[in-house]
Formats: sequence, C-alpha cells, structure tokens
Amino acid sequence: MKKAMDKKCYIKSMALISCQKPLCDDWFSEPITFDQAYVRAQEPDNKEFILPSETRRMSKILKRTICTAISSLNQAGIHNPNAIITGTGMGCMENSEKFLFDMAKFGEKCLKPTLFMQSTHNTIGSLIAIVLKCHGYNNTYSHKSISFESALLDAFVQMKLGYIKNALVGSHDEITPFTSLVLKHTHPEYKFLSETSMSSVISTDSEKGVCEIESVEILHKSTPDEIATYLNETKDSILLLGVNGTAVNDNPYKSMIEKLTFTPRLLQFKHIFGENFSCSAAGFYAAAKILERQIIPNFLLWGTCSSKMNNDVPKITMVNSSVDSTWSIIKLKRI
Amino acid sequence: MERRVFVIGAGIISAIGVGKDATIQSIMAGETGIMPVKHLVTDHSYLPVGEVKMSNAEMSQALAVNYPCNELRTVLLGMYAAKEAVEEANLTATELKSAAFIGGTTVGGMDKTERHFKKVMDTQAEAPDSGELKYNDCGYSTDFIADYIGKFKIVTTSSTACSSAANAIIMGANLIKAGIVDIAVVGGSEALSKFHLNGFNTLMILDKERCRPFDKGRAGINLGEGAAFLVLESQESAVKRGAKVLAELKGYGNSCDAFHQTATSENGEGAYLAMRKAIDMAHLNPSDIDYVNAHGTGTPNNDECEVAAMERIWGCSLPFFSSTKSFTGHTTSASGSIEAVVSILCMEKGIIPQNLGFTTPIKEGATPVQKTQSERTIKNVLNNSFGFGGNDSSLIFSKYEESHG
Amino acid sequence: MDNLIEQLKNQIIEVLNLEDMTAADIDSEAPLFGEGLGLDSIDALELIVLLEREYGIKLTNPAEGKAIFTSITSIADYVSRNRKK
Repeated sequence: MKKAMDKKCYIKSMALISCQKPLCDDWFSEPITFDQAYVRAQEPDNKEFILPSETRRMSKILKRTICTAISSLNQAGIHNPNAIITGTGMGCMENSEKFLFDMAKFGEKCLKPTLFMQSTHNTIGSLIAIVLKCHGYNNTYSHKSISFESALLDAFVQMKLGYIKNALVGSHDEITPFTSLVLKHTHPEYKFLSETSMSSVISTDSEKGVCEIESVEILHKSTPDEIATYLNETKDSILLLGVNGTAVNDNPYKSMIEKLTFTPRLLQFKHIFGENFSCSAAGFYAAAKILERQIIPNFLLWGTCSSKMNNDVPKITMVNSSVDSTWSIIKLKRI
Repeated sequence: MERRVFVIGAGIISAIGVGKDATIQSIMAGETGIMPVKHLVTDHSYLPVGEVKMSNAEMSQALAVNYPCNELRTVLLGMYAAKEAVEEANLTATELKSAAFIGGTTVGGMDKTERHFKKVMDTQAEAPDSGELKYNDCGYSTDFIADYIGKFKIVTTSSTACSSAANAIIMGANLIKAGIVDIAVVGGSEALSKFHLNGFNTLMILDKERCRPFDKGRAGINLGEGAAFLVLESQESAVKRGAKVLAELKGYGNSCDAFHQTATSENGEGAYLAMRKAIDMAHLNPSDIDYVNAHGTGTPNNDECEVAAMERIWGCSLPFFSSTKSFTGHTTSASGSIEAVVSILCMEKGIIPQNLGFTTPIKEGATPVQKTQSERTIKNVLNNSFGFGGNDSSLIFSKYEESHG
Repeated sequence: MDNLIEQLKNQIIEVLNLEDMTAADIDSEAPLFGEGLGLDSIDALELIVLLEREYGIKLTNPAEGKAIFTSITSIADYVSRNRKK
C-alpha cells in the first residue's frame, strides 16, 4: 500500500467556459472586466464538438460540459478515460426550474419528461459517458462550493490506490436569470455571479503535463485558526484565495492570514471568473495555467504584496472558504 | 495488501419500519410498506408509495430539531438512520472528528422548494420566501445530517440519482483504503417529493398497482422514501477499538451503461461491468455469491436488462435473487444503502428475502425468491443500484471471517 | 385539415427542439420514428404531453401512441377525431 500511495497525479489538459472568452487563454493577457453583478458565460461554437442533432435536447450547461470535456480529452489525446468524475453544486438548474415553473402553472399534469429526465445532477456526468460511450467509473458530487474538490479528491484517491490511471474531472454550474434573483436572498455573500464549466484530464503520467496535483483536502466546518495551523506546516509561498471584496466572504480569509507565521504572496480569481458553486474549478484552472506559463498576471494579485518575482512560480496553494466554514485546499506544483 | 473495510454500524428508516429491528421483522413477516399516499400532498394520491409512516412534525419532535430541518424531510430521515448507525458503532466525538461523512441524495431539499416555488416565481424572487429555496441543494441536506451527528473532517455528497447511496459507500471505502480516514459514515437519504413523483410519472413508469419486480406482467415502479447509513472502518482501527463487525465490504464496482439517460441497454452492459468489477475486487467466483439483492425496480426495461446482465455473469443458473423494493418501494437515492442494510440484516439472520408480487417469470430460469428462505448460510451478498444516465454500481457484503487475510 | 397539419408540424418542432427545421422540411407522410425524423421513445412521451396540453387528448398508455404517431397525417387524423379543445 505504501507503494501505491507514492503514485503521483498530474493535470494533462484543461478547458474552461466562463464569462471570459471560451476555450482559450485570452483572459491571461486580455481579461474582460465586468461591472454587472451577474454575467452569463460566453458560449463557444458547439458544432466543433458535437452534431446539432445530438444537442437538441441539451440545456446550456450540458452543451458547455460536452465542449469542455471533448476539448480537454482531445488536448490530452485520450478518447476513453478510465473515469468521469463530475462536480456540480446545483446540477441542471435550467431544466429543474422549467419543470417547477410548469408544475406551478399547469399543476401536476401535462409535464414534460425531457425536463425531468435531464434535471438530475448526474445528467451532466452521465451525458459525457453517453457521448463518449465510456463505461468507466462515473460519479457526480453535489456539495455546494466543494463539489469540484470532492470530484478531484475521488480521482486523486483512486489514482493513489491504482484503480485508475487517468480521469476526466470537471465541475459545472449554470445560473439562470431567475436563479440569479434567488441567489441574492440565499447567498448574499456572492458579489459577482457568473457561470463555470471546467473539464480537465488528470493522469498518473506526467508527460506533456500542465502541473502536478500534490494534495486535495476538504476541511468541513473548520476555523481560520485551524487552516492557518495547517498552512504553517509547509509555509507555501503563494496562496490563491477565494476572496471577492465583501466583508462577509473575506473575513475568514483575513483571520486566517493573521495567524500565518510566514508572509505568502496572495492571489485572487473570482473577480475575473465570477462566482457560483463550481467557481473554485475556474480558480484551479487559473492556478494550473500560471504554473504552466510560469508567469503571474498582475491582475490576479490581491492586497498590497509586491509584484516582483512574478516569473518564478514553483507551487500554488489554492485555499477556498465558504460562509458556512467549509474550507478546501488544493496544492499544485510545477513539473 | 489493501486495507480491509468493515461495517461496524448500520441504521435504517423506510416504509417497512423505523430502525433495524422493525425492518427485519417486516421482511420476515412478508409485510410490504407500500400503501396509498398519506403525507405527501399530491394530486396523484391514487399511486401506491412506500412512505415512511411518520410526519415531519413527529420526526422533528423525536429528534429534537427545529427550523429549517423540521421542514426538510430528506434531512429528518437521514438524521434517524445516521444516528442509529453511529450509536451502534459507539464512536466518540474525537473519532468522528477525523472521520468522513459521505451522503447520497438527489431530491435534497426539493420538498421544501416546491412548497415555496410558486410564490417566489410569481413575485420574481422578491418575496421573502426566496430565502426558503436555499436548502434545495443536496449539500445542505448532507451537512445538516452530518452536523447533527457530530463534527466530521470531510463531508460531501454523491448525487447519481438512484445509485447515489451506493456511490457514497464506494467513496467512503476508497477514502479508508487510501488511509485518508479510518472511519466513514456513508449512505443516502431521500424523501418523496412532488417533483420526482411527477417526473417519474411523465416517463409513464409508475405502476398504479403494487409493483411486481421481475414478474412478466410488471408495470413499473412504486416510489418510496427513507434513509440508511453504514459506519465503515478500516480493519486496523476496528480491531484496535474492539468494534463489533457486522460485515465486510469486500468488493464494489461502478460502471456507466453509457447508453441513454433513462433506459438501460439491452444486454445490461453497465450493470454487467459493475457486478463483474465487484466480484473481481472481492476475489470471489460468481458461484460464491449466495444472494443478489437486485435493483429490480419493476419497470419492463430495467428488470429485463438486469436479468440479461446477471445471465452474463452466472449463465442460466442464477443465484437466489429478489428485489426488496417490493417491500420498501423504490427509495431512489437512498436505495443503495437501504438495500445494503437490509442485506446485511438478512445475512446476519440467515434469511433470503422474498420478492413480493411475483407470479410469472419474464423468461425461463429468471425466477426470483418466491418464499423467504430461513436458516441459510449466507456468506456473500451482492447489491445492485442503477441510476439514470446508466450510473450503475454493485456492492458485495460478506460475512466477517477473522481468519481471512 | 391542412391547417391542423401545419400547426402540428410547428408544435412538434417547438416541443422536440428540432432547431434547424421548418414545417416545410417535414414530410406529412414520412415515418416519425426510426428512419424519417428519427424520433425516439422520449419524443413519443413529449408528443403525448403535446396532445394533452394543446388538444385535451389524454393517452394513459404509451403503447397507444405507437399507431397514432406513425406520421404527421396519422396524428392529424387522430387529433381531428378526438380533440377536446
């Protein structure tokens, strides 16, 4: 078992659809900034990835998922991954909402089967399998802001155990206009709502990899002190944080930073990619791209830390906290 | 050598009873819990369902919980089952603090959402009711259940429709094998909601009579509700604590049918691969499986394909098999853990539960258990859970033998 | 009858999201399932909902749909004889 646990885990490829230009890294040099509190994702040209006849039943989130999944698999040169592991906080909201609208309007009759059939959270992950005809391990995690981390942890653990050699791991959340109104009441801590669809291929093979995944941690109901204690053990020099500029969201991070026994460089990502239950997957994407390119774009720096040494990035530790005190820590390392 | 994973606690609530004792008594007596609708408010009250025979108010009072949990049936059911499981495992707060809690649900807080939705919709989310939709997400349900039990290290939710709980069990076992935790509380919870009752109804796969899994004249599902949780523990940790072992989780397999969002492929590829992987991981031969607790929903498509998949493993002489959904109804996301607990209880008592409602086989040789068998030696039980999208999982629970390994 | 056929074609395009099609693209006599439009069992369920919502016709058994949904003409024929609205 000792030997199995020594297996390393790498990101081979990634694809992202967000409010930035889709399926490319233009954001790295030309980030689009927004004043609105809610911006939808920019849709790519689906036809490059899937036939129009196949998309007729797909809602937006499903089309985006297929695009990022196939794009990242193509980049990695893998057609049929050993596993497809998906995160989604809210699942297929558009379809769920339409079904609820219809039920409110028509009562319990004349309801549409397609909306129900494609309303469950696992519609997303199983659709990828159906499109790829992939019979491998398939699981979906739906746990608020750590949905992505849960999916990544599953893949990470199975690689350590030697059950799989590669996996398509992603996280996807859509925010309909109606949901954006509801979220104002249910999640007032969000400042800039947007959508995320991120797919990545991770593998035990480092060749042509983007970076290494050193560890994935979920820390349920933890205090800023506990997180600081954990981070003080390794004193990693660059932290990517889920800060957004509001006190309710940022205070736990600030309390945590006060307890650090070292002075790390601090980065942020939510102002560029927006917030939703899957947005840490966009942060993961950004961190991996920084490690691959070995440059930290200035617009990602947070706070007053200096901008020197932006071209030597050995490691990025992504730290996310939710208002209900669940934290996640993902450590990424240059190959 | 991989770490062995033991079951050291179990809890269950379903239409056939609150707790393990009531559950096994109903099974032995052959008493189904499928009845006309009582608690769910729906126009389809003519549909038989497997409802838990307690109201939200009764459960909230017994569990001593308040708003918003008292309005979230998935949470209340989960608390009942998780509490029973953790009490049996006799865990301290310190032990829980380094443990994982993996829940499985799809409905989550939908029952509450659908009660408030019309008002929120009519006012374009300006109504104060908008805040009530917060608990719709699966994660809230799991968090409320976990936090009721204690402080855990890792809490998350698997949501793969009707195989959610089975996949939560698999994730928990993997975390133990990888040494990330020694103990994991795993399972699933799902309340009936108008949303999914109507959803299944649009697919025209709900039987207006009591369901008849594996019968030639079967006409669909009776939905059910409930929750079940298991406490899993690594061998080293269980031995060190002197825990009483209920069973060993010897094997599991997860595979996607990759065929259709709601239909199963004719040869049951996903189901076959899930069972095959589980049997291989357990280092067993197919003939070592004494009983299959089948997915057996009662739909024409599922049961036929499940039989086809079983025949690919066992040829034409199938092991004892039955669907206990004929007792509990199809408890969707919770079915994987509910049927796991039922199987473990049956293994302990040496009984093989009957498949209610069956008269005529689909085909020759595909006859489920017609009369409950007692005084049987059951060493290995295989549980099937198949979800929408072809999310298929199988689990193998074995009688605990100290000598092995 | 021609009006009904045209109306049905447009309704079917809408409920089944046949995005790139117009009513003129659908042959009234061509089979809807398998070859032809290539619809499947879920589409059949959607058509059952369409008949109930738009024409007040309630089918309780999906098997009944088989003969009715052969082609646009056969649906129009059934609707004209059984419609409640």
